[in-house]
Amino acid sequence: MRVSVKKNALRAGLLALFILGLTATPAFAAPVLTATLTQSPETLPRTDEQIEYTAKVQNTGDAPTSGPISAEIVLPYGGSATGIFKFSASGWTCTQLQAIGENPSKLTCFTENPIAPGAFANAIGVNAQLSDEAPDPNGTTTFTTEGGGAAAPSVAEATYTFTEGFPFGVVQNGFIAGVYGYGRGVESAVSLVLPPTPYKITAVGAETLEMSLAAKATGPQALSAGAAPFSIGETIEGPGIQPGTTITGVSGQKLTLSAETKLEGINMPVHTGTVSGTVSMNRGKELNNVVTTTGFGTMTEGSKVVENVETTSGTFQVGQGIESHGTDYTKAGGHPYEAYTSFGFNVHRTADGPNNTKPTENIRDTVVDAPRGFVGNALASPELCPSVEAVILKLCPPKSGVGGIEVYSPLGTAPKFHPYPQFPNFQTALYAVEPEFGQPAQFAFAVSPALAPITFVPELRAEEGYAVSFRTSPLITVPPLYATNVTLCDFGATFSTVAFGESKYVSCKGPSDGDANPTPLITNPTRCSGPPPATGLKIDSWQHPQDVRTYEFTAPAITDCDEVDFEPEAELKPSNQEADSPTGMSVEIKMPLDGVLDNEGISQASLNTATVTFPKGMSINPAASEGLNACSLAQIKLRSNAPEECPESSRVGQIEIDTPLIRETLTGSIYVAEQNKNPFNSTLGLYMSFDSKRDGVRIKVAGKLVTDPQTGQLTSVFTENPEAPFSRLALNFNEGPRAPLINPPKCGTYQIHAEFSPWSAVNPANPTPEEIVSDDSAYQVTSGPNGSPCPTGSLEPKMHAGLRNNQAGSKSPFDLTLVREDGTQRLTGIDVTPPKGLTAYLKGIPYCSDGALASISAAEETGRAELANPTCPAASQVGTVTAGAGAGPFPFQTPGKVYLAGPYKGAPVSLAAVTPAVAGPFDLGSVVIRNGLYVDPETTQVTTKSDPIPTILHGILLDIRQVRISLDRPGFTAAPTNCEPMTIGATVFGEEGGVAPVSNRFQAAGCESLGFKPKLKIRLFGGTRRGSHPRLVATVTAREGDANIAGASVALPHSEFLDQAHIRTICTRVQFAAKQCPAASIYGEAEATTPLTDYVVKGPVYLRSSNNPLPDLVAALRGPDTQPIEVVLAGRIDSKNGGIRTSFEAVPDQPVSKFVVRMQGGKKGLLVNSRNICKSVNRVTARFVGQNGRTAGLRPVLQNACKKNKKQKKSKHVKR
Amino acid sequence: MTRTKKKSLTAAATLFAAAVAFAGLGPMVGAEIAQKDGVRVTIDGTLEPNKLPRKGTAPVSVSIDSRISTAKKGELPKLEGISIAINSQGRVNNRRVPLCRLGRIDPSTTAEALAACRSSLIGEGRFTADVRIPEQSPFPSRGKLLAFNGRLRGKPAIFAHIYGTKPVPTSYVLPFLLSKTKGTFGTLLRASLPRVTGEWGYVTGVSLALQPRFVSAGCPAPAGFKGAVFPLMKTNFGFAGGLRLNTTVVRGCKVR
Repeated sequence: MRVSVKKNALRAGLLALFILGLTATPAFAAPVLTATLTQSPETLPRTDEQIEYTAKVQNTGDAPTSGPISAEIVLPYGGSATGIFKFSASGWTCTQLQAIGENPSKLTCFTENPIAPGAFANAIGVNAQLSDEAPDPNGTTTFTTEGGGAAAPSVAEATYTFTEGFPFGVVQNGFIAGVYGYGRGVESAVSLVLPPTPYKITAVGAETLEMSLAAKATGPQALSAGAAPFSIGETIEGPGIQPGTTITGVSGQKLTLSAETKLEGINMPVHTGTVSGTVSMNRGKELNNVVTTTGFGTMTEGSKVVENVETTSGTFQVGQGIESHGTDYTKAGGHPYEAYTSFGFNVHRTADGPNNTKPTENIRDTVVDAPRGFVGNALASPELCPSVEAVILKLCPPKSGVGGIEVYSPLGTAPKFHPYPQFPNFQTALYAVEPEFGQPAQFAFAVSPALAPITFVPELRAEEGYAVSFRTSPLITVPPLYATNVTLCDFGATFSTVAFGESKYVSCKGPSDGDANPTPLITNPTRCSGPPPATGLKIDSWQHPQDVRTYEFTAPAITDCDEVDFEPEAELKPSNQEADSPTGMSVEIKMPLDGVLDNEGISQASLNTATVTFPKGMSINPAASEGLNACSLAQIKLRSNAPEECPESSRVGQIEIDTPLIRETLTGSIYVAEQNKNPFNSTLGLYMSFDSKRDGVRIKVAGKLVTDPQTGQLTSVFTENPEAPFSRLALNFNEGPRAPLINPPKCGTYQIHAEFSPWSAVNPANPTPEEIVSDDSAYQVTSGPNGSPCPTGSLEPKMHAGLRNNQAGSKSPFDLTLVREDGTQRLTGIDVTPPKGLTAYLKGIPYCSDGALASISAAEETGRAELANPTCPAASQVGTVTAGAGAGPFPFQTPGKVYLAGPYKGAPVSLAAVTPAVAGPFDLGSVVIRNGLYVDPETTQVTTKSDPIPTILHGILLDIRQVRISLDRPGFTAAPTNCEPMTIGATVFGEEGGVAPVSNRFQAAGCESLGFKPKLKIRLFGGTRRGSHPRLVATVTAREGDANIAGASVALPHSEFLDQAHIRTICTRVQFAAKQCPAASIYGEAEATTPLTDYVVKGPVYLRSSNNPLPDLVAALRGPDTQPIEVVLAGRIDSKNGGIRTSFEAVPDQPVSKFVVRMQGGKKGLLVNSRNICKSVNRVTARFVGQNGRTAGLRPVLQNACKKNKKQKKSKHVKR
Repeated sequence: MTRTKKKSLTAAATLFAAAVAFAGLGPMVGAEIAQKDGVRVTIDGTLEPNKLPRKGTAPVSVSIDSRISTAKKGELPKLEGISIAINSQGRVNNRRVPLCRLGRIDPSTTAEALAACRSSLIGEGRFTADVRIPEQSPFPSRGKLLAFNGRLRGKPAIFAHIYGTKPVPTSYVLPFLLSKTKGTFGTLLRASLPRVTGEWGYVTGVSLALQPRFVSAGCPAPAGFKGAVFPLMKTNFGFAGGLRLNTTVVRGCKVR
């Protein structure tokens, strides 16, 4: 509170003192008026709050006042919204002036009562209503007093501050958008059952209330009255008619109920009201219980008691609702008597009078959101008003009336101190109007022919399960709208005609009224679970069109879901009856709709979840991925009515839905959802989008495809479907060679199992088995692919393999293509044995390390990254692999790369095929298949053994039909130098355990053009005398480009015997195979230099038991541990013309530039000189056979450690 | 002393000659057989001529043929040593035959051995053995045997030179050491085989026909008898594992 005294008064006092001093005359006594002004409260919300002022006048002089004293309280300039509505001024005579134009409100008072020195006059109390229309938000009230003999007036001021503005929005918390039933009678008797809490009043506020309630009934049963105290926060039930009271009457009687209410509060007037109702009880006819109310309304949480009382028109609940039209009709799937919505808006006083109010702002748009599952039938009205203009011109046919509108407006006689009129200003008819293109339905009413009509257009809320909303056209500002009640009749409306042909809504028709519409307009939801149906309201104002206020109100819970039928029928049929072949799929689901179309019927439950389990063996067809794209969430725009922008290439089928609610069949497309970026975060998903452009309806539904990770069995799940009835839903997935599904691999009868669960389930998300409807559709697979006989399940792969250039010894890419024909077992592995002599040049090629290979992820959505940035170094790539997947003539080709990798599973080297499983929009990660290259040590023939080829990846059947491997790194593979006919063999493994050998003829050409000219150098070291055991070193060299050596025999001269006594330890073949030869069985060492590798292959030379008379001389060569390729050269020991001969009869067809054998001498020397080798020239007899059939005979001198003589110097190789 | 040794050796050689007079490479009819633990040793011999002077000695050609086999199916044990104790009535005339040095014939082909020590040749024969290498089928190894007069480590010896070409050319010398013993059998010939046959050789037969210039013998018939029967030799074949088979060869002679 701020108090001030005007300076003028002080000046006057001082002036008097000054005069007294100057004159030095005795003191002259005089009254002095001092004004004080207090206000409460000092701050106000920016609303039409009251403020109370207290103005006091004190005589601070030393003489009593004489003569009249005036007091004037001037409120701040506040336009029309600020005014004094109450004052108290005992002993004063006052005149109140309301604000006029720019003149503010003020209170002027006079009194003749003198004020003794130091005393106060009676205080003046002023209650004022302030408005935010005041230009100064910090308004100052001025209090001026003068007269009474005082020399000067005294002025005091008080200033208030607004803290906030006026809210805009719905104030009438009694807003209910409800669906009300129609009392149903029985033939033998009629009963009225009052709802459980007929007189339920809840008060919330800052003041203590007292309330008395009296109720009485006339008719067959009198009801007692009573009273009860009523406190803040309490809820009491009226003592009159108890909850659940049953009144039984006789048909034809009329029952009248009435209740008087009284509500008192501190600082508030006493309010009374009356509730009355009349019920006609007629045998054989439905009971229409209508209760009308007057008086105060419900006080519920959120409303201020005082304001509510002041501003709320009569609303008293019987059951729930502002004005009840009967018992709540909550039967699931049933057709209520009417749907009703009502709402009002904040108001504030206007400055032109304390009893005048107006809406805070002018409402512009309203959208009423009906509860989910609330069904409106746009085709229910038997006739439509031809146009909105016809509504204005009152030319609508009566049958087009569907309800009524009540409008509360300040026009007309506004009751004092009531912001709302007690009765609606307008009551007019609501018509069903021919919808515009793009509208499913249209309703309209006209307030006045001079004003634009108001339309209601239903639309679907995509974000809320496609529930129905009603959007009004922009409302007019004149007259401003306080409140409105909208009634939508289910079976038609009754009107009365008033002046000028205007139809006034009276009531809704009953379902069995003679002139009732044959088809109900609205149907209750079929879901009883979850929170009660909620109705929403969105409004904005002309002043703030972007500031949308949202409200939600709860309607009565839906009941009796257990009485709702649910009888869907499904038929699923593949488009193709050929095994292991692409197939489309047609799905048709039918729902009985009698209950939706029958006034007395109960709609069947809406479909919540449809689950279709396809038979084992039926799978996604990877071939369909070719050219396929996915539709993203941004493109499908789920939960939005905007049209989808899915690429055409993502469309895999069509959809049609028939519903009796709109004029057209809904049609649309089925799209492939983007992997993992769909509402289910699932690998596979589908979107269905269907619409009717004419009706302006567009619905989008998402479903997921679940695959069994082990079997790939496919299950589609579409859940939380719109709670709307349909008569037929037809899905047709594309047919043809790129159809999205593959039939099972064998003929037979297959079942497609469908399960449907309703929204009426106790827990729709988890229905009980009894609530689920199952339907099996059997279909036949009658033939093999393309009409061929039924597949036997055999494994009949075909292989094409070979070098692109089969010129002997030439370097050429190697290609292998494995094809699985439709109808045969799926491939799970392949072991390939290329022909002998088909060589790989490993030299200079780094490995893709095991670590790198292990880091290649098989996780979804990593394949594209692998494609873009391969994990393995490019230098290790030796070829490519392409996997063709899917049924039909056009398998989807998935490219991959083949890398050289290190030892694997016992193989000295391996190939790693890295294939990112990226098919169309799907990315299933990368598949790494290691292929161990097992080298036959004796022939060096390679056999590749693949790791199992996955048949299922992330639950998706890969269905690999083709595998094409190209080892096309330049210079990597080379042809044999042997032109004998050979084969490329393979063993193919099938899914059902099948094993199939396949082979491909192979023959190199042009061997005759290859040269063959090996050289042999052989030398003895050590003792030269008889009986000495010399060391022997033999070196074979070959020219690059020549045919490789196929066999060699070297016969030593007679000077060398085998010292049998030195054959002590022999490696058995078992030991040799186990790589456990005793060290003592080593008699030498050998090494081979080849252009194939970076290293020299070397190893010990053993005596190994054999099938020959003598043990074989075996060189066990091996690469380094990083590439432990093993080569075994076995030489048979025998004699030729009396000389020891070692024959290597099966030398691998591999290029060897140099081969060295070093045999030990001395105690471990197998050779013994049979003479003094220095005494003669001893020659070796050697014979080499090339892989191309050429031979080379050599007779080199057996070099020794003797001092060279002339003969030896002249020795040279001699061809045989 | 030396003389006595020579006489003893001569006597023993005579008996040895008598013993080997039964020898032949054909079927051994009337040969002595020793058998134990399934191992059978058959010894046969011939003495040519078998009419000998009652007093004194005459050159004789002596053949001995020994075969080692198994009585049942089974593996032949490895022969590790042969010892032959010869009746003291025989005489080996080794001093009249030039000596052959071992280094000249070991190893060598038969021809080379003859070329090197033809003057020392005292007999011929054959040698057979099975070579049994683990995990392999046994295969026979055979070769021609030449006997040369020699000395080994300063002691008289017979070098049995063997040369074969199958499966590969190989040559070795089996040296029989000659030593004197007391009693009925005055001369002992011993040969140790492992070094010669190696790890995998299993001797199955040795035959040798000594030339008359190397052996002389008489017929020790008592007065009044035209012939005599006497223990010509006692053989001992020692096998791996400790098996030993002893045989005494008894033969007769006629007084000329």
